[in-house]
Amino acid sequence: MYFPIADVTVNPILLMSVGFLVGILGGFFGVGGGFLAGPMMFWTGVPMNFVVGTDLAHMTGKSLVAARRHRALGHVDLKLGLNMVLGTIVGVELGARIVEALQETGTIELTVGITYIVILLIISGFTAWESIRAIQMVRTDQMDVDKAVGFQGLAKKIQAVNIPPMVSFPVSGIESISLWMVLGVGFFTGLLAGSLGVGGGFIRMPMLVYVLGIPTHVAVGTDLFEIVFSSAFGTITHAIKGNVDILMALVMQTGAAIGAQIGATATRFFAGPKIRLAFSVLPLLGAIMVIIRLLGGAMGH
Amino acid sequence: MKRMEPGLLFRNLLMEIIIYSILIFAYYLLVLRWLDDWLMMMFNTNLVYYAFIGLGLIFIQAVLLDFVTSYLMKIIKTDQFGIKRILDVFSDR
Repeated sequence: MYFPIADVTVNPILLMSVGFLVGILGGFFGVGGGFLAGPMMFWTGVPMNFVVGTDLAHMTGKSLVAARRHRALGHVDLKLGLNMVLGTIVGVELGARIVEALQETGTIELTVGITYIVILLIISGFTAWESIRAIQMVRTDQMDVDKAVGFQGLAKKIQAVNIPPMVSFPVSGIESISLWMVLGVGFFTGLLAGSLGVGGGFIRMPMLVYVLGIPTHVAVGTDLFEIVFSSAFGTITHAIKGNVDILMALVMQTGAAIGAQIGATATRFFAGPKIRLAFSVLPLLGAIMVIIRLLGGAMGH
Repeated sequence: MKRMEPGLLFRNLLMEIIIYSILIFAYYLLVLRWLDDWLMMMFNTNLVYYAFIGLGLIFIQAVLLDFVTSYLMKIIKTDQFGIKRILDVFSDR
């Protein structure tokens, strides 16, 4: 099929398949999946400037489907999501300005790349360690599998901070937490997402669990709810710059719709620690992708 | 609950995905392929309109596809495309 906006011919079944695969991951783990969809789209022949914008556009629709499914399952904390969005937007804007400043120094690719790899490896290693510990706790302490978190110290300290205004999030089981902590997490994830040029799903999901103490299933659903806003914002920005092929995004989304529903429904059948253990592989894959890209760039020079 | 053979479950899932694929193919032939000229014209004339109408199309399609998949789920009465039965085999709950 010829896509006149991107001026490229791509097999639509291939695009639907990419959407389907990334949709399953997105629905199950609460991530946008841009770190996998991007390289796959590039591999199918889509020009690089259209890869990022078109991926964001299809991510918006896919996240909407998955978030609706998670909401039906009671896994979306709308109040938490809307509060966090404010911090996220400010963070994304600041992150984008940091990127602009780095561009002037001419070291952006290496600086962002190495930062990205370090953060992804830390998230991957920490999530794997914590979830294995939680699974062991379930076995040895006969603990309720949904309440087992191998690292709760930070979340308890954050929830104990008493800086008004204090808010409650009944859906997430949080009776009282400072609004500043919620905004802070949104800001920090937005800052990383904005400066690293990613949607931020695989940074936000673990932060919701370990920093705010949100149950894993609610963290996945709420993360998807946030991705709808952040990717819609990104879609508009990129489309105005002429970097989005909407037709291509619509084709990808047809595959992603069913994948996202399958992924979201699948979370019902797995306890939190197992979801987190499987999730820990994703940042590792992301890090490998960046290493390959950096090595490719170095060899190109 | 009586568990089904994994082979049978995957076959059911595959069949249900094929049904969905046929519907999507029809949708592609009837709707998507006719959009390219109109979108291209808008892309060339006004990028702001293109951005907002494009996002609107993404949202509308997401909601419509959500309805279709939910409706299919009710019709075939096997929960989500057989995924429930497949996951029951591996579930830890």
